[in-house]
Amino acid sequence: MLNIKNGIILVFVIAGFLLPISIKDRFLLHILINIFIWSILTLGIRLVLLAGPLNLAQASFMGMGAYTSGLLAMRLGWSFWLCMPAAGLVTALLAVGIGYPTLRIKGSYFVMVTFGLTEVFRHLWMMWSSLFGGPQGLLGIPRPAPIHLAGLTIAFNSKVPFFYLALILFLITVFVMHRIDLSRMGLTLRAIPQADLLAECVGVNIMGYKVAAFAIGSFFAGIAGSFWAHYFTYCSPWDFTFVASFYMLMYAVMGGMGTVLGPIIGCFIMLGLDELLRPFKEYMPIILGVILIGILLYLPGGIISVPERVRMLWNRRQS
Amino acid sequence: MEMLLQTFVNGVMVSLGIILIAAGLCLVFGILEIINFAHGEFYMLGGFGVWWFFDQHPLPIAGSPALQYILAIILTVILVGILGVLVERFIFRKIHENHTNTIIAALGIVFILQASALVTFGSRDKAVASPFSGMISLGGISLSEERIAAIICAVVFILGLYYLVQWTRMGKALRAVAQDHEAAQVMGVNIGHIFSVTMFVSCGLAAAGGALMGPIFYVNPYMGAEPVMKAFVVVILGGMGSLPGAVIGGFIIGMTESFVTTYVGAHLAMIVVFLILIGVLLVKPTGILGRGE
Amino acid sequence: MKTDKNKKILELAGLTKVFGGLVAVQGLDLEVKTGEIMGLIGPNGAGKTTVFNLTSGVLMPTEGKVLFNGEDITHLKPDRIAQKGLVRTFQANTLFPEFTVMENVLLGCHLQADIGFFEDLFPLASSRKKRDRVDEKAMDIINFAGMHDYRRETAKNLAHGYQRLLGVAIALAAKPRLLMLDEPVSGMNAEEKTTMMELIFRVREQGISVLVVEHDMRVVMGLCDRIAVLNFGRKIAQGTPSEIQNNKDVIEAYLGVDE
Repeated sequence: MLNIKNGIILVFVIAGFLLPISIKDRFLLHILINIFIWSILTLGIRLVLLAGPLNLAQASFMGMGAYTSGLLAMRLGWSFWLCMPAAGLVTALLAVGIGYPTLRIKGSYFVMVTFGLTEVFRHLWMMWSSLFGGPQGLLGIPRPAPIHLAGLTIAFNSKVPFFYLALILFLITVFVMHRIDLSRMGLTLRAIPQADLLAECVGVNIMGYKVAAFAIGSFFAGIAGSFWAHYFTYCSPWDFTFVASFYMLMYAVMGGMGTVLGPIIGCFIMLGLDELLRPFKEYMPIILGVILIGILLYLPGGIISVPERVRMLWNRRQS
Repeated sequence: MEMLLQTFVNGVMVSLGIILIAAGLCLVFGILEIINFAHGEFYMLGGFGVWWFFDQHPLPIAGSPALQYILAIILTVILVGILGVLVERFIFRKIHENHTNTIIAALGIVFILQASALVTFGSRDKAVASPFSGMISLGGISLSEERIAAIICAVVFILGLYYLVQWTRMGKALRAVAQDHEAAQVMGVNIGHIFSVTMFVSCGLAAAGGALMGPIFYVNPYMGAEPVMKAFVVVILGGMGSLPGAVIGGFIIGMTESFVTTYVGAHLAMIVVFLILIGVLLVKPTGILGRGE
Repeated sequence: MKTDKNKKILELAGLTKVFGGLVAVQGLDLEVKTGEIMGLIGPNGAGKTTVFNLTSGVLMPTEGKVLFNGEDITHLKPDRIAQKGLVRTFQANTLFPEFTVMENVLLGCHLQADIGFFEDLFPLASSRKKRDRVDEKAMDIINFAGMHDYRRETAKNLAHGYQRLLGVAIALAAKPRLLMLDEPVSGMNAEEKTTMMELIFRVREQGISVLVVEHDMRVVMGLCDRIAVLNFGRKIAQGTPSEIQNNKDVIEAYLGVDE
């Protein structure tokens, strides 16, 4: 438990908690909040991708989480602290319902189905305006109610409480995803794309695992969506399109799929780059697309595989 | 009654447009065995091509507007076809064994092409003035000349494809590779060439679709997404790798969309199409005339 | 484990499989007695792998039944069948190529790892103990198969002979009552074949019944208590090794096939 790696992680976590005290720049906090939330979404897509299926509908699940949370708060007056887990649960159940018939569909066709799903959800949200608010979406979603903790009242009227909330959600997600990686489930998920028939013949219920991973990834998407809705106080169908899903996929692939660190680094670098290159906003998709294809062709392990690659090249040069 | 006939003619036109895109997808899947998710962007480039070469910077060739229009389409088709060849040669060929990565790469190309079009042309819809601006009266209904022209051109392209695949030596080579890569190579077919020809024809057809539909609807950088989704449904419905299947599927989807849109609503039409997709994939994934995996 | 020598662990009754116009297996009746090593041989294309696929749930029969320990498993899916104790290997080197030998066998131990999902998520003492237990079981299998030295090797880097051994180890990890081996010694040299045969004998000593498909006659004759012979999807003979060796129909079926 006590080693260098865990030490570094602890340092980062502590730094994260101390950050808002030292840095008052609201904009930086906003960027970090974005990075945390996108990391959650990206880790969700990665989990399912480990087992094979490429889920382009992750943004739609985020949207369902956002709409569910917003509607529960606005129509039923639920407290945010109930809305968020409820949103996660609803999204997970939705994922089970959708995943059960569709995950048995072969690879590339499944991708098409998820692509189609993003369009279906978008049309659904726009069509059913009485419930979802139509093309404008939901406006005026309430901020989380103030919490009273140890004599302090934390009101959600600045970026700082949202930052801490996002940080905590991020840490929980990373912890869960990492533990899954190390668990029997993680091993089994990784086994499926390598030899699914073999896995089945030693007792693995392939569909069960795929649906479970799909549900977990979607649960976190729902949570992230709920945060999104109450942070921005509005959500619209255009926030949750296939393009958003593709960004999540890109960050995962660019960072590196092997561990949970990859997608996180992918998000930090790419979203950071996004901010640095703000003047060139229109060119960003082109730049990202080119980097993505470059990585697919020449660096399939993603950015985190760079140290290993360098080490291998160095060893080769030595001998 | 008039609305029925209008919807029908509209359905024919929409179907033919979809068939043009679907045929290209089908070819690439049958011969290269990859699913080109970027296909819709070539359709989009076709639309912009005809806008650029006909509407904005007409070709310096004397002749009627109709002739200039046709030439603009041909030029666009050739240019987009070449782009497709380059994309296959330098990107797909390196990673096509890994299906997931090929899909991701194709989506990356979507990104690049869509954003490039946005940067170059802007996001606003562009209208393309059609050389055919009259209306024809047939049996009491008025049909726009431009829609009739689009139908005729689409039919010409489709027949051209049929001729290529069935009656030429190249077509024979294409069919051989579609059946079995190694056997075709043993018979002396240069697989690389075949791949390039396939991409040229496929992306060219998509561009033709965009070029024909451009004047009728609007042209914008996002116009490729919906058609390619419908084309996927068509190809799966008709059977991956089957061109006749793509034609049949194209008419089913085109007609469904036209009638549902007219009589119920556009949003619902997309949902219906999508449900058809799921239904086919769950019940008979090889489609109506499919080759099967 | 009590083994009643005369009880049937596997019974195929009237098993038939038709693919379009092709009859791959025709009315096959076959029994494997508990505790025996049974061989299934026949010329190429006789339908042996199809029989395996039908038995293990990978294919559904057109007609007929598969009974495992008296229970009808004909229409069960492969993972349910494996859970009941019927595990098979594959002709090609079907492994998890990117996993190490240890991870491969750990996956095979899937059914034995009784750690709940939520328990696994937290690094608690109880889950750690359970995980250690599974690791131990996996190591036992690896040692049993004689692969201790290779436990950290990536599967795809193993020599062919060890890959075949690993395939058997993975199957053993699933705690089978009946182990079905599909051409376990294919592509092996003489020494490797002997190693595999010794492993199979050790497996039988553990009380596990074995049904093995093989082409190598020396291995078949040396290994099996009884042999059934297939040709064109039908059983043409059944008996002890010496009976089969002298059977006219069997010799005819193999005429022209060098082994």
